[in-house]
Amino acid sequence: MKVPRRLPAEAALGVLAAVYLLPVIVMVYNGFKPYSEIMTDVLALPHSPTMGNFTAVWRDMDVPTLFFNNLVITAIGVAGIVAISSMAGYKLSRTRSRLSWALFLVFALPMLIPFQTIMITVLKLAKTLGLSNSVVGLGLQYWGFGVPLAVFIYHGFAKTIPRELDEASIIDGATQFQGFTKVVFPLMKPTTATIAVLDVMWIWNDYLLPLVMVNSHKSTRTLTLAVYSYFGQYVSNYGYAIAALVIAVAPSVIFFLLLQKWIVNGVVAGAVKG
Amino acid sequence: MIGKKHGWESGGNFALFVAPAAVCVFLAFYAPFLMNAYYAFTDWNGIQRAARFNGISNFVELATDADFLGSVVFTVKFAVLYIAITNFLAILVAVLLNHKLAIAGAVRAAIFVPYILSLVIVGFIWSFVLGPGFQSLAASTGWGFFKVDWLGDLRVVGLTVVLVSVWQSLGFYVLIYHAGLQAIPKETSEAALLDGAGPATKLFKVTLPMLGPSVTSCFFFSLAASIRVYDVIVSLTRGGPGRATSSVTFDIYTEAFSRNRYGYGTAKSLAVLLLVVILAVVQLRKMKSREVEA
Amino acid sequence: MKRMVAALAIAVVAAGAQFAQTTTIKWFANANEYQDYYAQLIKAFNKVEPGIKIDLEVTQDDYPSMLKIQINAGNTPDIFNTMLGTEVESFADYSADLSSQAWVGEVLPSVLPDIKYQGKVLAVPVVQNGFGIIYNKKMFAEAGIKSVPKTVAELASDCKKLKAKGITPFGNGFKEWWVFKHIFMNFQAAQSPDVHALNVAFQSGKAKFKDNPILMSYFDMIDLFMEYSAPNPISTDFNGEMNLIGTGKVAMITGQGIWAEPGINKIDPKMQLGIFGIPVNNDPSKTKLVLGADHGWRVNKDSKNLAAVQKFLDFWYNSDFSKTYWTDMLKATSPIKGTKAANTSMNRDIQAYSDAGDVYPEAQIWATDAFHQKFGELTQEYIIKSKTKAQVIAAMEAAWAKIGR
Repeated sequence: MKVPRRLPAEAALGVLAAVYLLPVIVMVYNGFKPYSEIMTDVLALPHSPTMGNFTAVWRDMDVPTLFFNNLVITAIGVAGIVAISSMAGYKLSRTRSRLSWALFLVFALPMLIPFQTIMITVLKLAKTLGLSNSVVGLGLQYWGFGVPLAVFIYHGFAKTIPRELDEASIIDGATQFQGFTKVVFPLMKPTTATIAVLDVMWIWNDYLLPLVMVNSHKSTRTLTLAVYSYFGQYVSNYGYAIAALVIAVAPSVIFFLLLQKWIVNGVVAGAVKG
Repeated sequence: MIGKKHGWESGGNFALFVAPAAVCVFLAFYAPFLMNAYYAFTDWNGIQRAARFNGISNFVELATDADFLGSVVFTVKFAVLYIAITNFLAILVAVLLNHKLAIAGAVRAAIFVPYILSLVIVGFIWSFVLGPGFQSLAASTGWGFFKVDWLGDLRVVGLTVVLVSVWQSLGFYVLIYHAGLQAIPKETSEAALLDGAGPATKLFKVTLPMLGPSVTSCFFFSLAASIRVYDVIVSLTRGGPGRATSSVTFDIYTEAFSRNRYGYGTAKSLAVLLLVVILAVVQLRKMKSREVEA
Repeated sequence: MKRMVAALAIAVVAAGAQFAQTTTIKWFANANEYQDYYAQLIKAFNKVEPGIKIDLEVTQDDYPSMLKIQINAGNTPDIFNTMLGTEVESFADYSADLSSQAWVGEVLPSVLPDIKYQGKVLAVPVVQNGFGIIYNKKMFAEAGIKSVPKTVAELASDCKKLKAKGITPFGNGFKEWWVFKHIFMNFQAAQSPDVHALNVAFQSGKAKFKDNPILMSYFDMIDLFMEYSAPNPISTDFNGEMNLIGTGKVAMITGQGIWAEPGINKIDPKMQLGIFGIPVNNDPSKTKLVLGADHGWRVNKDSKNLAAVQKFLDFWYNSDFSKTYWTDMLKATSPIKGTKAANTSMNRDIQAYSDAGDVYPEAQIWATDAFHQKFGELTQEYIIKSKTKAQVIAAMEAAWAKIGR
C-alpha cells in the first residue's frame, strides 16, 4: 500500500529539484545559442541548438593542458589535505589537554579570515618559498588552506572510533603511526570520502588563488581561469563563457555524482558529533 | 596519561601527528596574516614603494567611518538571516528527504550542484535571471513578483543577496544534517514511535535534540561564510545600489585596492577579525561543553 | 677546407646567437574586448621579429587589484596598463622613461600632455575614446528627429517625440559606477576648459559645487535620464544596456562611448549607431563630444627586456601595421598622427566632431578611480533618494578632496 502513496511525493520532490536548478539549467541551454540570440531573449530555448560556442572555446582554450593542470593541482592538494588533516584531527580529538584545545582553535579560526585580506603577503611568501608560478607549488599551497575544514571534520569523526581500537592497533609493537595508517585511517574511509569530495569541488573550481599564482603563463593556467577570461566586467561573450564554464565544471560534477553515496555514509559520523 | 612514552598519549607522537598540519596552516594563514598586519599601522596606498608608519590613526578613523559601520551593520543583518534561513531550510529538507525514497539521493545531488559553481558564476547567473529574465517573465505573465526590481530596490536587495547565497550553499548543509539524521540510533526513533509519538512530536522531542552537534558545526561554518561574503555581492550588486549591500569584506577589499588605502583597509580587517574571533571562540566553547554531556 | 670550416663556424655561431636572442616579454593587459586584436598584433609582430616571444595575460575583472598584487610581490610585468593623467604619477615608481623612443613623435599633440609626468613620457596611449550619448539613427528618424540635440531643451523635446512613437528614450546602466564619471566629464569640461586645474581645485578642498553652476546641472541631466528611462535602471549593468539598445528596446544609451559599437553590432549587425555630445544647459556652444586617450601602456622600469619592448612598441605604433590597427581592427580613433578614421557609423560621427574641433578633453583622468567609484555610488544614492541632493554634494566634495588624488 505504501508504493502508490510514495509516487506523488517523489514527483513533487523531483519537480522541486528541477525548479531549484532552473537558473543553472537556463544558463546551460543558453550555451547552445549564438551570442546575438542569447542577448535577444535569455529565457527562450535555443531556436536551433548549435555546438558553435563549444567548438570555438575548445579550440581557443587548449583544454588538454588546462585539464592536466587542474588535475595535478587538485590531486596533490586533496591527497595532502587528507593525509595531514586526518592525523592532526584524530590526534587532537584523542588528546584531552589545554594544548589540544588551543591547537584545535588554531586550526579552526582561519576559516574566519577572508582570503582577500592576505592576498599580497600570501603571494610574497609563496614566491619566497618557490611555490608561485608552478602547478605543483599551487597544489602544495592548498594543503595549508584546506587543513582548517578537514581537521574540524576529522576531529568530530574520531569520536566514533572506539578507544580500545587505538590500543589494539599497537599491540604487536607497531608504532602509533603504523597503527594509525593500518587500522584507524581505513576505518575513516567515509569521512575521507567526504573531505575528498568537498575539497575536489573547491580546488577544481577555485579562482582567486590560481589567478594570483599561476595565471601568468599559458602553461600553468587552470581550466577555471580560462573560463574567467571569457567573463569580463565590461564585456562578456556569454556564449563562449557558458560553454567554457560547462566544460570546466563538468569533471567535478561527474566526480561528485560518482562519490555521492560515499559522502552520505561519511558525513554521517563526520561533523555530526561536532 | 600525558607523557606515557609508548602509549597513545606520548608527547612525541603528538608532535608527529599534529606538526605537519600545523606547519601548513601557519604558512598558509598565520605567517601572511602577521606579515600583513604591519600595514594596518601605516598609510600605505598599495602601489608606491614607501609606506609611512602612522600609529593607530587608522583605527581611530574607522570608528567613525560611516561606510565601514554601514558595512558592519549589513554584514550582521546578512549573517543573522543567512544563518537562520540556511540552517532552518537545511534541517527541513534533510528531514523531508530522510524517507527512503529513490529520488531522495538525486534531489540531494540537485541541491548540491550550485555549491559546485563558484559564487562569481552564481552571481552572474542570477543577475541574468533577475534582470533580463524576470523582465521577460513580467512581460509574458504580468505577475507583480517579476516586476519588482530585486537587485535595485533598496527594500529587497539585501534579501535577494541572502537568498541567492542560501540557494548556492544549501546543499552543503543539507548533506551534513542528513548525515546527522543517519546517526540517530534506530532504537531511539523506534522507541519514540512505540510510545505513541506522532511525527511532529518525534521531530521536536527526539530528532532535533539529537541533531544538536550538527547544528553547532553548521552554525560555525555559516558564521564563517557570512563574515567572508564577497563574491556573490560583487557579481550581483557590486555592493550597491550605492553602498546598500556592501559587506565587511567588500568594504575592506574596496578600501585596500580600489581606494588605494591598503593600510587603512588592513586596519579594518584586523578590527573585524578581533570581534569575530571572540564570537567564534565563545561559540566553539559551547560546542565543546555539549560534547562532554553527550 | 678552411673556408668550409669557417663558414660552418659562422653558421653555428649565428644559429647560437639566434637561439640566445629568444626573449620573452610579459604583457599583462586588461580590456578583453580587444583580446583578439592583441593576438593578431603579436602574430604580425612575430613575422618581423620571430625571436621575441610575447606572453600575454588578459584579465578584465578587477585588473587594477591584480596588477597591484603582482607588482607588490615583485612580479611587475614588462608591459602593463594604467589610466593616464594622475595614474601616470601614481605608477611613476615602476615606469620606464620612454621619451626618446621614435614613436613618441607620432603621438597626436592633443594626447601628448596626458602621457607625461614631470616632462617625461611614461605611458603609451592605448586608443582614443569618444564619449557621449549613443543613439539608434533609424529610431530618431522614425520619431521625426532631424538633427541631434544641442541643448537640454532639445534633448527633452526629442525624448517626448520618441515617447509619442512608443519608443523608450534611454537605456541606463546605472548599476555600474563608471557610467557616471563618463557623463560627468561633459559637465566638467563645459564648466572649465582646463579640466586638470578644475580637478586640482576640488582636490584641494577649496572649490565647491555651488560655485560651479554647470556642475550642478549634472544632477538635472541625471533626472532627465531617469525620467525617460527604461525600467529598472539602477539594476541594469553594461551588458543589460547593450541588450536594450541592441534589441531595439531603447533609442539611446548613456555613459558609454565608441567601445560599445562592436558589441551592439554583434547583436544587430544592421543597426546604424550614432553618438552625440551631452548637452549641459541651453547654450549650444557648450555641447561637445568628449574625446581623448584615457588608458596607457606602461613599461616596467626594471624590465630585463627593454630593448625587445622598444622594438615591439615601434612596430605597434610606428610602422605600416599601425596604419591599420586602430582603423580596421579596433575600429576606434587612434592616438597617433596620420591614420584614417574607421569606417563605421559611429566613428564617422566622432570624426566629424573632431574635424570641427567640437571636442572636450577627458576630465576623468585627472582624478583617481577611487574618487570615481565613490562618485558613482553617491549618484546612485541620489537616484534612489537614500541621501538628499545636499548630502550627496557634500559627500562628493569630501571624497574629491580626500581620495581624489
